[in-house]
Amino acid sequence: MEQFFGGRIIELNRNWLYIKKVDWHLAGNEKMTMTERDTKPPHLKATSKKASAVVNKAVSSKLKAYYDDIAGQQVPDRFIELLDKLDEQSK
Amino acid sequence: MPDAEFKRDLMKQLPSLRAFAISLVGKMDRADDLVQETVMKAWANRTSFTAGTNIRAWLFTILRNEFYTVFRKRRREVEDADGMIAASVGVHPEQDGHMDLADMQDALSRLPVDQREALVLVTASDMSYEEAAAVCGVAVGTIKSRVNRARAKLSELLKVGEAHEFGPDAATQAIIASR
Repeated sequence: MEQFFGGRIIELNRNWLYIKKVDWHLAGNEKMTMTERDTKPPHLKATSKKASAVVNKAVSSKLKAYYDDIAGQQVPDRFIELLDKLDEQSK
Repeated sequence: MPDAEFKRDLMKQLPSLRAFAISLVGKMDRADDLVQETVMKAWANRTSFTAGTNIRAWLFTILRNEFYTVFRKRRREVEDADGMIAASVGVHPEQDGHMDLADMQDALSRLPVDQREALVLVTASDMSYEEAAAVCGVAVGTIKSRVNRARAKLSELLKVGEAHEFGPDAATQAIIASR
């Protein structure tokens, strides 16, 4: 893990760069405990609303494409035959 | 409503009924069984449908009820073996950001079923929040929050929002680099 402004860069695989602040406490016998918390740079906080709108739109269009692909497939004959049969029986 | 007219309207809804069923159950054969049950139930209850009202919402409600009946039964039989397998295996989207149907099916199957149906109805079936609320028998606000949660979870599962999703693909990058 790289040291960065007193914190550690913990995640670079996403668009955002998260920096985890690490507070070191010496607790006898040179044993160390860590407390960590996530921070997000302020300039990213400002754009996160816009970014999530873009992500929402992208997810929705992927799902819509998936759905439309199925809805665009030819309906199996069994359903038409079933409806014909049901219609015939009720006459 | 005359039978012929009802039959014609029902037929028109078959493609979207199938799409809704597959989105819910994830498997084509089981989805078609669900659609078949829905068609039979709908036909048997056709006199209770009021002509001029929303036949799609009416049919989707029948399909959804049928799904929950089967879903609950199946859950009792085997403790949702598919769901457990799905939850333990990670999703691996294609490197070039292209996603095929199987990836979406897989990701959908990982959403809680109430969130899954809400998201599919509103986002894919183009239902209004009010229509979706009527189909699911819950308040409009409930649908809205389910859709939001489902969308957030789905984007996480599909890794939408990562560099490779929005950034140029490998081929484009190569062209840019060669300039």
